[in-house]
Formats: sequence, structure tokens, C-alpha cells
Amino acid sequence: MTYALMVQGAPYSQQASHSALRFAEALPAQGHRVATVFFYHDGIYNAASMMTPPRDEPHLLERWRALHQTQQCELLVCVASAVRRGLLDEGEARRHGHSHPTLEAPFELTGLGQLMQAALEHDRLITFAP
Amino acid sequence: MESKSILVVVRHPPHGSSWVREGLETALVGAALGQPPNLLFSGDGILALLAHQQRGALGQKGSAAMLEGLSLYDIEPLWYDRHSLEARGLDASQLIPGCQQASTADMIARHDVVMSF
Amino acid sequence: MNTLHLVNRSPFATRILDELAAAVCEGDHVLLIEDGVYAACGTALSDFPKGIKLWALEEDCVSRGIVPSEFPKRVDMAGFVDLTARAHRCVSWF
Repeated sequence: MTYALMVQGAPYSQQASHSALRFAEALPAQGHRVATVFFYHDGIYNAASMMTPPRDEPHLLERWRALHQTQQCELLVCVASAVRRGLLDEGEARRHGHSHPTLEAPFELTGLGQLMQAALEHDRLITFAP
Repeated sequence: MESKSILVVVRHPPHGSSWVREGLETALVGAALGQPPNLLFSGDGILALLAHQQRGALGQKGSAAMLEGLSLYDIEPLWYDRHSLEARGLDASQLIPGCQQASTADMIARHDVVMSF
Repeated sequence: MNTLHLVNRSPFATRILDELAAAVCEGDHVLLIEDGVYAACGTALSDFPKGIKLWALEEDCVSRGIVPSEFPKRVDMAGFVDLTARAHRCVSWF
């Protein structure tokens, strides 16, 4: 089966990101795959490209990147939630007069239409909430 | 697009957080894609349906105004959980127009995908 | 066509379990994750409707020192995945 995950919890504040990652990483062993991760609400902070946790703590950004590599999943970030909260890719940063982007590939800024599309296309939608 | 039925459930009250706005925006986008979801207010979510609300501290463009516009996008009626209303000592006359009672259990069982806010 | 309900909040902090109790259908499954596993303590689940299968995520019980008991039944992460695959839909309560 293909899965879509909606992650609504902020990294390092709530367990949601950890739970979502642990769940997604367990999918292939059961014959499934995560196809889309959609970050919404405070979940968008999972894409903060300058995330710098202490060395002895899990690096959530690296874990998401690894998930993208191993399962070829899209990492979609709600653009309306992200721009409001200061997460901008290169294009948005330029458009709003900021010198540096705060979000980079493989994360992509997208609209809620992509969340709907993922919910309709994939076999399961699982929400990881704060 | 595949024809799966989608239910958007709002379970948080308005004003204190952005859940209501985010749930409504999700429902609106579904409608814009030609798949208007059913929208259910349950638990504290029914408090979003109370009449006579004002803009809130979050500067949300008044979720009340958003709610009134939903019927233009074929998102109607606004379903509410009857038990949640009664548990809060409210009755249907205190809600904005266009609301209709439902059972959360039935609504969940009738949809393929449930999105919670 | 059953539903898997995911609960991640302590029942001692919210009334989510009461709300959920009114929203389940016979044959549904409830999986307690994160702080939801505290529902395994005391009598939090004693009034929960019968005919609903209750599970708790093993690793969240272990990390919180929730002592193993028979009820609710434990599942590991593979079991979590399996529950989602078998259910027709998943609903998160938070």
C-alpha cells in the first residue's frame, strides 16, 4: 500500500515528528511505502533548514531527508502555514525581500490541494498530531 | 481524480488556535478541486458554530465569516455532533444558520478518508 | 469497513476518551500512542464500550515505564502499521 502522512506537530516540542518517522520507517518491512508526507500547522517547522540539534539528539531534518532518499517520498510543506511562520524557499525569500531561504529541497512548498490529492490517491492517510 | 469521500472533522474551539481556520481551508480546497468534503464539528469544535462571534486575537479573518461563505462552495450543511452541543448546555437555536445535526460515529463510518483538526 | 482510532493524549488531561467512546462503532480498533498510553493506568478504560479492540504502542509504554499488563494489548511499530493497513480508515484524536 502507499501511505500519506500528515504531520501537524512541531519538532522537538512534541512527539508527533518522532512517531511519524518511526511509523514511516517501519512501512517497507510490511510491504508498504510512504509516498507523501504533508507538513501542516506547526509541523511545518520540521522543514527548517537551519535545524541544529545537539549532537547526542536525533537530527529530525536528516531523518526526513533519509526517508525521502529511501522511500522516494515527497516532503510537502503547506505554503500558507510556512510563509506565515517564516519558512521560505529561495523563491519566496526573494519575493519577500529576505536574503536567505529557510527551507530547501527535498522539502517543497505546496498548497493544500496537494494534501487533498495525496489523501485521494494513496491508500491510507495517517495524521500525526501535536 | 478518484472518487473517495472525505470528511473534515473540526474538534477544537475557534480563537484559541488555528485549527478551525486550517480545517476550513482544507475543506475549501477540496471543494475547489471539485470534491467538496463533508464538514463535521464535534467536541469543542461545535463552538465555532455559535452565532454572534467577533474577530479574535489571532487576527483570524473571523472564522465566522469563512463559515458563512462555505455554502457558496457546496459545503453544506454544516454538520454538528448533537451530544457535543448538549454537553455544553447549548441548543441549535444558538448556532449560525445552515447547521444540521449528525452523529460522529455515523459520519466517520460513512467516509473513506477522515481529516482531523 | 472498520476504523482505527489513534489517541495521543492522556485521558487524565482531556475528555477525549469520553468523546471517542461516543464515536466508535462495533468492530473498531483504538490504538493508544504517545501520552495516550497513560489510559492503561487506573480505571481510565473501564467504562469504554465493549466490542472495541484496544491496543497500546509498546515503545511508548516502555519509555513511560507503564508496567506491562494484559490490557490493553501491546503492539510494536510493525503491529501499528498492520492495524492501519487492516482498517478502512484512520482517525486521529488530539
